[in-house]
Amino acid sequence: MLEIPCPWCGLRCESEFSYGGEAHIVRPENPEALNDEAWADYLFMRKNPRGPHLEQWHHVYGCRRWFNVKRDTLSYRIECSYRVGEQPPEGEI
Amino acid sequence: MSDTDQAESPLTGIDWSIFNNASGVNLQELPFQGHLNLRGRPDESRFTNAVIEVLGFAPPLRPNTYKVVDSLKMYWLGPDEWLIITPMERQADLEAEFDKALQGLFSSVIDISSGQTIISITGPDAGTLIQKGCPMDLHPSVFRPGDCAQTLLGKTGVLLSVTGDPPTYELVVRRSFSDYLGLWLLDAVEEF
Ligand SMILES: [Zn+2]
Repeated sequence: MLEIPCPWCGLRCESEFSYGGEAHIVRPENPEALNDEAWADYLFMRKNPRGPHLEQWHHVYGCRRWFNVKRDTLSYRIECSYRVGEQPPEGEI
Repeated sequence: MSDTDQAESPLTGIDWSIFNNASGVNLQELPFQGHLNLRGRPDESRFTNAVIEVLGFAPPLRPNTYKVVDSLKMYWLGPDEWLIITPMERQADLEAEFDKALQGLFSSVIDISSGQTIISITGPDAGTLIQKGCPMDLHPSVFRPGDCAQTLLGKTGVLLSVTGDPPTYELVVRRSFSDYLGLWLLDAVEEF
C-alpha cells in the first residue's frame, strides 16, 4: 500500500485515492487543425517511463481534489506532490 | 423538510441493542439535522464576509478541521467546500440567508439534509472500534479535537470528526451507504 501525500490533506492511504494517468497533457488549442496522427498522439500516446513519472491522482475518498505526483515507476517511491496548475518543483523531467 | 414527525431515518431498520451490552462503546444516531453544502472562494473577501454575515463566524480554512459555534458545526471539506450541520428548524432560514448573501458570487449552497445522516460513537473503545476499518491514524496525539477527515470506514466513505476527552467520534455517512455502515458497526462491536 502506498502512502500518498495529498497537497491538502497530507499523507493518506492509497485506498483513498484513484489514479489519473500521466500529468501535464495539454489539450491542443485547435483540435480540428490536427491530422489523425497528431490527434491520436494527444489521445492515446503516453510516456510510460521506467523511472520518474509525473502523474495525476484524485483524492476521491478525501477532499476530492485532483493533484500531481512525481513517482518512480520502478521503486514506487514518491518524491513529491503538487497542486493542479503548478509545475513540479525542479521543472520537467 | 419541516414535517419531521413523518420523517424516517435511513438507519431506522438497524437494531442497535448490541451496543447496550458493549462495555466500552456507546453509539447514538443523530438523525434529522440540517446539512448544507457550501462552496465558494475563500480568497474572495466578499465570500468570507457573506459567511460571517449569515453564520456569525468565518469558515474554517485549515484543511481537515471544523468549527462549532452554538448549535452550528462547520466542516472543511476542501479548499472551496464546507459542510454546515444545523438544527433542522434553522436549516431553511440559513439556506435562504445564504442565497441572499451570496448573490452575484461564484458560489453555491445546497441542502443535502436528506442525503446523509450522522452517527456518534463514544466510550473508551470508540477509537479502537473505528480504527478496525479506517486507514487513518486515529491516535489521540494525532487526530485531535477540532480535527476532521474524509476517509474510509469499512468500504464506504465517511466524514469523521473527533471532540472531547475521552474522544467522541462523529461519522457523517451518505444515506445509501448508511445501512451497510450500520451493519458493519454491529459486526465490529461484537468483541467489545
Ligand atoms: Zn486530500
